[in-house]
Amino acid sequence: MLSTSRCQRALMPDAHKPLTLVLKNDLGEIDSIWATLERVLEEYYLSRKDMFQINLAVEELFTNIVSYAFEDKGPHDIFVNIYVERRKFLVVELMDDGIPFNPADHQDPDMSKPLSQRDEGGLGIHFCKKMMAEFFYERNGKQNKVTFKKRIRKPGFFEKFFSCRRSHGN
Amino acid sequence: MEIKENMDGNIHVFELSGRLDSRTSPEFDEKLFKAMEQGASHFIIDFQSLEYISSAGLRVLNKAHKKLKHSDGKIMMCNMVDYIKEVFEIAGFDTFLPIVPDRQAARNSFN
Repeated sequence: MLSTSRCQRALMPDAHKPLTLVLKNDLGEIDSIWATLERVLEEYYLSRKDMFQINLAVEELFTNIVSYAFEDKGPHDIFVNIYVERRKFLVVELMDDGIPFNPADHQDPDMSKPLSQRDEGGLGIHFCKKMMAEFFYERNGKQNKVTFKKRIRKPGFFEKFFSCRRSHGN
Repeated sequence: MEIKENMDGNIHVFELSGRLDSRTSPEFDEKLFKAMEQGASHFIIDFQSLEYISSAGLRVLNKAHKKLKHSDGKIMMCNMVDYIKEVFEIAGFDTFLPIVPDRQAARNSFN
């Protein structure tokens, strides 16, 4: 299995120096995404629920990219940036060079219909919209960029973040 | 991901542990549909040790729910941690796929 993700910074980064993962378009990368997120997020007292929802959003978006973004089926790099913004949000950005696709515009599943009559797609994007404070898309040249922000409520998160930065001389 | 299967009377029980994601859900899909092909129609899915589920896992359950509608079958889910239960609620699955607190309640619903 491919294991090409690289963790460039061990500490929770800020907007100027995000933690960047470089992933291949292969579902096998999900294990390394999870391992990295768990290690990074655990240091900052995030609740199990916040960690779960961030992990879920990343997996859903990554799986969509791997499954639908590339028409040539060849190898592509997918970039994931993680950083903290204004002491309020954990921000995750996913970037790919696939066909243009705006998930923020994607129609939500019709909840009024019985389960058996609903379209199967779109559920993952629906989760991202419901669970994240912000969720948006940009097309930059040939690149898709999806950003989501999770509001961090857990007491102690930012105290820990800033004491770590001091103790590491940042 | 670990999937344990056992029988509780005529109820086919799946005990899931670890992570049910887009990489591991095909294995669950395969086992669930194999059980249905062999005639099982009453299922309990025990989420006690499941840490994580994504839409890929929910799709397997939706697919099984659709198939069972034609055969009077039923899936009961139990022992769900609150944040996983919330995923089923956000997906609007909880009104069609019943979630009960524990195995006893799941078992009783088949009587």
